[in-house]
Amino acid sequence: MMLFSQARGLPVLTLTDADEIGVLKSLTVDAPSGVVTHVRVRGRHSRKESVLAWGALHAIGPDAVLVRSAAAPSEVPPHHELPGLRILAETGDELGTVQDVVFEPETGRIEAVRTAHGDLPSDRLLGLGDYALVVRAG
Amino acid sequence: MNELMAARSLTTLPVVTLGGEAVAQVKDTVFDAAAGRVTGFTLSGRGLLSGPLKLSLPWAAVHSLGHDAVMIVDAGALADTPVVVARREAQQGRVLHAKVLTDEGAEVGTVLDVVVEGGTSGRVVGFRIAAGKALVQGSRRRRHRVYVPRGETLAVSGRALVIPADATRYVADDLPSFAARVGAFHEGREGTPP
Repeated sequence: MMLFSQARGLPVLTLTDADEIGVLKSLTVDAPSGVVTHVRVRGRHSRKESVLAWGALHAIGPDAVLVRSAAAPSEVPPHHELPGLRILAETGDELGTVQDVVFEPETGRIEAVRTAHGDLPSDRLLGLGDYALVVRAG
Repeated sequence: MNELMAARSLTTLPVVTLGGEAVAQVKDTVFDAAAGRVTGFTLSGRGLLSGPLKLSLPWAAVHSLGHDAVMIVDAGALADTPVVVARREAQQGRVLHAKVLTDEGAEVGTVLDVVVEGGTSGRVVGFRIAAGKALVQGSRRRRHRVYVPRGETLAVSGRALVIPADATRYVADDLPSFAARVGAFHEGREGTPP
């Protein structure tokens, strides 16, 4: 189990030559399937953000992220930053904001979305957009 | 029972898809000719500088009406404005400021706002009215604004609404207590009135 807030800021290194390409900036989530699909890395020198597909990662450990290849994925989905985003139930009622996200670092599967009112299990996630994270009424 | 909302408070409510995108905001709520239910919403763009949209939202496309947003499945649910506005021109402005009479012929006040039920029903459950002296006794200087339930049978013309006389026994001062009164009103009509 790992939190988005713990993963943020981890150094990202290539597995083959231990070259530090930057730090983990954010994780892109596909809400309906409840998985992390991409990660965003801020470059160490250029400060430019690059995107890596989840499949390019070798491991997310407590102290570093190791990647197999730093090649950019062919298709980059729009990124919506989860922490801080408002949560709407499908009934149209607000349920607060996302405080953190619990995920499995081995698989990228989202376990739960943490809010001030408790955890929302990932099977309640319906959609994620610019305005809100939409969840099934519990 | 779902949460009750005053129709005027729906203005500026965001219209959000289940995918989490806000595509518009509510400009006006449109009712059917008998003021029985919501038939749709006219829309404006989101943000300070955006004007009215050419698209509107028919009630059939509403996934749920909530306290913080009108939820729709996706932006494809929006229809051309004339579909909804045709009904609006028949109705808008006719219920607001209309006199409220009981079926016994007493005038109880004038309509200030329409109270609708949230969720998926879109039912009109009552009205917020500026109460006349017959309904609420007391100082004339205090403006009495109360909620009255809508009867099952409601006659609406351009100038007046006629509600059942027993509805006036279920008035409330605010929306939360009105929700309880509406429930009691419908139970009372099925059984014996209290």
